[in-house]
Amino acid sequence: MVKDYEDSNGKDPEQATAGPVLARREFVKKALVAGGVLGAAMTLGGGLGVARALADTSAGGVAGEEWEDPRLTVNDGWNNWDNILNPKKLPVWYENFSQIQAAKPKQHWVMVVDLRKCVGCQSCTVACKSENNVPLGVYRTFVDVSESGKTYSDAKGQIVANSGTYTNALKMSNIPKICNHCNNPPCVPVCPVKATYKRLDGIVLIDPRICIGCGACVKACPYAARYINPVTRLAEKCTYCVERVDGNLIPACVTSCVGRARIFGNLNDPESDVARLIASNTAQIRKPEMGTQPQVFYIGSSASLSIDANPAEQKLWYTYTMNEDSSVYRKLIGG
Amino acid sequence: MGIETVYWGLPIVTYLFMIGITAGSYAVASLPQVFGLERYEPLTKIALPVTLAFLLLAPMGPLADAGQPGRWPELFLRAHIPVSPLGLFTLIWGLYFIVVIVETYIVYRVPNIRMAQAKEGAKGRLYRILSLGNTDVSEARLERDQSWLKILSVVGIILSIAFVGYDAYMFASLKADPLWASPMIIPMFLVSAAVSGFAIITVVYAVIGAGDGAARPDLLDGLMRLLMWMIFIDLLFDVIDMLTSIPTVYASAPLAAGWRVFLGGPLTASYWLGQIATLVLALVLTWFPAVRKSARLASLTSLVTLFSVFMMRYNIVIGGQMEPKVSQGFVTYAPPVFGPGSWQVVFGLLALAVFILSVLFTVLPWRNDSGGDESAVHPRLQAHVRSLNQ
Repeated sequence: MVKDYEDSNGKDPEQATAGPVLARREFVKKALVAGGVLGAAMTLGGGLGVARALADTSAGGVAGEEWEDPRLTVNDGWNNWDNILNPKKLPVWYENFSQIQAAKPKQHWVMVVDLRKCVGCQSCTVACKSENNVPLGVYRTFVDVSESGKTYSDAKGQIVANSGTYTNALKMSNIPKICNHCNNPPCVPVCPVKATYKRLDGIVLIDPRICIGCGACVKACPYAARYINPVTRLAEKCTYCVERVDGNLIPACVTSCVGRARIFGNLNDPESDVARLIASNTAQIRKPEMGTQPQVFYIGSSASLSIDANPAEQKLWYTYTMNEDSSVYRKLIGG
Repeated sequence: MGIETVYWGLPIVTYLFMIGITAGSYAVASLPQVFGLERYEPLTKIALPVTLAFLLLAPMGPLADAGQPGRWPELFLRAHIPVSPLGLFTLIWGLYFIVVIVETYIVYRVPNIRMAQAKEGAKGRLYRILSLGNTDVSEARLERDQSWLKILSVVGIILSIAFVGYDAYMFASLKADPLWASPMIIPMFLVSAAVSGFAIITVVYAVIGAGDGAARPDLLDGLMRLLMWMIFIDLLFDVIDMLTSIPTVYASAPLAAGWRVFLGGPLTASYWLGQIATLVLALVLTWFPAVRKSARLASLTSLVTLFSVFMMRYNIVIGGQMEPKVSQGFVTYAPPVFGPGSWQVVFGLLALAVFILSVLFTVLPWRNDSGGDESAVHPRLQAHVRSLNQ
């Protein structure tokens, strides 16, 4: 490419003698040649890069894994998205979400997170990654583990050790974060191709056959719950494990929660665990000021669900869910 | 990778830069028709190809940035109209494109007919195709052309405002991002589009001239005066934006927190030097009559302005994504030099735009002497056509 550039620039020896009119014509002509060669080369170069990257990811077999490809088809249920995303053909909404309430759904799936029980073990993160084949670097759910305050040396402290007396003012918080399946989701109406929608039972889904990967929904979500899958280059997010819920199972993160901090259920059933927990506890939601009406409710904590912007006030623990593209993380790893 | 990443990268920056140029140069082309500034008539013929070239390439920006650009037909087949700002793209771009094409046809109809008559062989055929086989140069037809041009210009100006406005609204509608969800975004984009349009037409006009020959100092002066006022309004909007965002006691907490990106954060130099200082420099330069009237200095000033406008796009697109929604610090971003979403793509897109522009300027008879001898610009058009008919 560099060679092309030099060639096209150094070809024209007679330009200096031309009059003003001719010089202008020469300019147009030269710009035509230079622009054409450069533009074509650059676009081609970029295109080849993309093609190579695609070839790399679609190459399949890894050395040493020579098992037979099962060659699953849609008939086996593989990538049968109609069946995976909406087997009962529930009505879906692309906008005007207030109509969903009026349609009197039998089920309204919500999650309750009991923060008294979360120990920050990230089992849910692992279960989700395993269940949904989530690539490295991106997450559908994660637990923010953080600490604020500290244990300090204090003559009147109540902690007595060989090395002295201390006061413990250290506060840990483990806050599981997940797509809120909002009742007024800002991520759904911004989709330019109606690839994402909200189902009658409240689950917000993305159809991977339609998504163009523009990233508008990723930017519209105030909770950073959506991401562009680096392998498929499509928008993805938590689906409440829709294929499990439609099969009368609970989501993978709920199943794997060691402390039963995550409770999943039908809010429209007054006898359900979630309905009773929300009725008998003070429930918090994330970023209520956004007006998104999140459907993941947090109970058992009076502290803020948001992370303090100041790393000195609230220290995020290093877990593998920590944001690699964050300047705080770069500082931590000495970048 | 991470929970938060800068997804909208350099191709989106370039896209916004291109649509600004498209709308701004269209505004210059419409100066005589819509704004009654008859003396800018010669610029219409060079401004329309600029509009067309950048309008043709504009959709390539978001496509280069999208994960699945091959699915672009969905944008036409399943457009989420009217609730998705992004979904409006096909509608507004399509209408705008049709208006610009038709207007270019009308503006170049008579010169194309003349070229078709003057040239033989393949060139003659080319101009017959460009004039769609039309040979009507009667006065009645010319008057009809003028009235159509007026209607199309009014519609086109509205569409160009809609085009830039919807793009700005694409950002302003994302309430999750406090730096974007600002009522100032739409006026800032509109004024900045006008700035880039006047600047690029100044450069093109200063370099290649128009109509009867080289750039006329009086027209350059007029263009630069318009540019000066647009830069002034642009800077005024920047100051309003600062006043409502920087003082932490007056601004909302998320907005003030977001502005840390430009106040000691990663884009401090990019904002204060790249965007504001260069624009102030351009404003000061346009103030000198000698600069305004000199083709070389005027185009230099315009290039400084275009750089500032590009940096403004960069600061809005990248800066807006650098404020984290759910984590701490800044979301880091280092634009790649090669590969998807890199400077290579920016360079390729702009080079292709220059290429298309060169093709258009090579083919279209934008000079009065394109046909070989003296010919017709608007003021003398009818007299000349009369002499042709005799």
